Amino acid sequence: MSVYDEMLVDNVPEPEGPGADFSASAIKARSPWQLAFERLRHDRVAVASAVVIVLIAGLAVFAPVVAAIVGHGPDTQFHLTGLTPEGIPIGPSKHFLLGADELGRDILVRICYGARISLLVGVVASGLAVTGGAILGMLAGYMGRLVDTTLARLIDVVLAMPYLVFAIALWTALGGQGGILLDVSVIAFFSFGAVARIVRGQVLSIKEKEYIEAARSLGAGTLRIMFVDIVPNVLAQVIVYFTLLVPAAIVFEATLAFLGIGTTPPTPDWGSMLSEALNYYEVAWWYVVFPGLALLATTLAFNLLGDSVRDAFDPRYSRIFTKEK
Amino acid sequence: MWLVATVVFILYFVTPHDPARLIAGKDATAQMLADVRIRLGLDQPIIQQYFSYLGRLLQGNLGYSYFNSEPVSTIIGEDLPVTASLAVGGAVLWLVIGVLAGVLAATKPRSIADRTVTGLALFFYSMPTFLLGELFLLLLFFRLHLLGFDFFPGSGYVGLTQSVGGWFQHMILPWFTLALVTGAVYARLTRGSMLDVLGEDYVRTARAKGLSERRVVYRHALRAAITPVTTQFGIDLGTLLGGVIVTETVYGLPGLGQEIYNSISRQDLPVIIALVLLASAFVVTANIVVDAVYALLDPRVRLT
Repeated sequence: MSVYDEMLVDNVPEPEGPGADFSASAIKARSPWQLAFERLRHDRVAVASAVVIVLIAGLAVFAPVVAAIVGHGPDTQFHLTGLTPEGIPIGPSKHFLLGADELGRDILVRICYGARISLLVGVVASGLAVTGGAILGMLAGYMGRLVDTTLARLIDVVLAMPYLVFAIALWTALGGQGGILLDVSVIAFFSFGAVARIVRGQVLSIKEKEYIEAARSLGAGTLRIMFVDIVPNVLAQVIVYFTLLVPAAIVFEATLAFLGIGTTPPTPDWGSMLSEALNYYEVAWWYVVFPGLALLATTLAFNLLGDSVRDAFDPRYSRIFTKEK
Repeated sequence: MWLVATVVFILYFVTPHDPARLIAGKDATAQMLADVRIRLGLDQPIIQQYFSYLGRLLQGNLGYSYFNSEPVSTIIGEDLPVTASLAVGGAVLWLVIGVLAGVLAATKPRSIADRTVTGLALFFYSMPTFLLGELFLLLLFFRLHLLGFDFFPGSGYVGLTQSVGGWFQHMILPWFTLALVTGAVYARLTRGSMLDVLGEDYVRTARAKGLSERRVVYRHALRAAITPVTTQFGIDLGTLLGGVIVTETVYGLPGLGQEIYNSISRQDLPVIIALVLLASAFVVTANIVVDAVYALLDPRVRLT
C-alpha cells in the first residue's frame, strides 16, 4: 500500500449515504453486498429489530424448553390451578407468568409454540412468493410480447381478487383440511403478483443495457443472460421485498387463523388465540394483550428491518410502496 | 365475473360434501334426503345445474339460500347497509387520515411531526386489523365502561334511519379500526410522493409567484402527489373487503362479511356465489371509478 493510498484511507469518511460507492471504490473494490451489510451493521434500528427477531425465533425453537421450565405443556389444561373455582382464567401469577386461557392452558407456553407457526408460515410463504414472482417477472420482462401480456393480465386478476373471500371459500371447499399448507399456498398465491411486477419492471430496463448486448454478442444464450447477467441485478430488490413480505405474511396467517382458517383449534396459534380471546377480554385482559404483543413485536421488528435493508441497498430509494404505472 | 362464478361453482362441486344432508339434519331418512335434493335441483347432472344456475343469474335471479330458503337478494338487501356504512366510512377515513398525515410529514421533513407520523404509520402498518379491533374493545369500550364512561358501544349495529347518533356511535370504533391500519400505508405513500413533488420546478415557480404556502401545498403539489395514492387505492379494494370481514367479526356487525363467513360454514352455495360475485363486481366497478378519478387528477392521463 503506498503512502497515497494510506492518506486516502484516513480521509475517507464512514461509508454512509449516497457518496458511499465512490469512497468505497477508492479504497478497495467492495461489492454492493458488502456495502449494504456494512450500512446495516451501523444501523441501530436494524440491529435492534434483528435482535428481537432472533429472540422470537429462539422462543419458537426452544418452546419445549420453556414448557419444561414452567412445567406446563402447550395443550395441557390446568382446570385446578389455571382457573378460578368459577371457571374464570387466572391472570399473570407465579405459576402462569402471562396468565392462563379459558381452558386453563399456559399462555406463555402457547405463545412460544405459536411463534413456530407464525415464523414458519411467514418465511416459507414469502420465500415461495418471492421465488415464484421473481421467475415469472423475469420471464415476462425478458420474453415480452405474449408471455408478458398473459402474465400481466393474470397478475391483475390475482391482485384484484378479494383474497380473504377466496381463502374462506377454498378452506370450506377443502372441507377444513389443509392446515398450514393451505395458509402457505394461499399467502404465496396472493403475494407473488407484486414481486413479479417489480422484477418485470427492473428486467425491462436492464435488458436494454449495453452489457446485456455485449453478452449476447459474445454468444450467450437466453438462459445464461437471464441467470448470470440479470439475476444478480434484481436480487437486491427481491431480498428487500422478501423482508417486507414476511411481516405481511405473518399478519395474513394470523388473520386466517383468527377467522378459523388453516390451523385447527388445539394447535397453539397467535391468530386463533386472539380469536378465542375476543370472548374473554372482559375477564382476562392478559389473553388479548400478551399474544397481541407477541404478534405486534414480530411484525414491527420485521417491518423495521425491512425498511433498513431497503435503505442499506439503496440509500436514495425510500419509496417501496409507490407503484408507478 | 362469469369466470369467478364458474370457478366458485367448480370449486364447490369437486369437493366431497352433501348440502342436502346438512339441510335435512342428522336424523333425516333416505326419503327426506331425496326430497331435499329434488327441491334444490341437486339430483340433476352438475352440468345441467350449472347452466340452469347461469341462466337464472343472467335474469338477475340470484337464487334462494339452501339454509333458510330466503331469496339471496333479500339477504343481501338486509346486510348491505351495514357493510356499506362500514366500508365507505372506513375508506373515507383512511384516505383522509393517510393523505393528511402524509402531507403533514412531507411539508416538514425530519421535524417532530414527521417523525411522529412515520413512527405511528409503521406501528399501525404492522398491526393486524383484528388485533387493533380487540385492543379498541378492551381499552376504549371495556375499560372506559368500567370507569362509567359509555360512549363507545362494544358491538351491534343501529340503522342510519333509526337513529343517526346511534349509527355514528356504533360505527366509530369499526371505522377507525379499518382506517388506521390501511391509512398507515397511505401516510407513507403520500409522504414519499409529496417529497418528490415538492422538489419539482413548478412548485418553486408557484412559490415564486407569491402564492400562499397552503395553496402551493394543497393545490399544486398534492394534486400531482396524489396519483400514486389513487393507483394504490384501486389495488387495495380487495384488502378493504378483507378488512370488512374481519372488522364485522370483531364488532359483531351483522353485515355481508359475517354473512359470507356463515354461509361458507353452512355450505350455502347460492349465497356464497352471490356474495363472491358481488365482491368481484364491487372491485371491478370501483377500479373503473378509480381510473376515472385518476384521469381527472392528472391531465396527462387520457381515458381511451
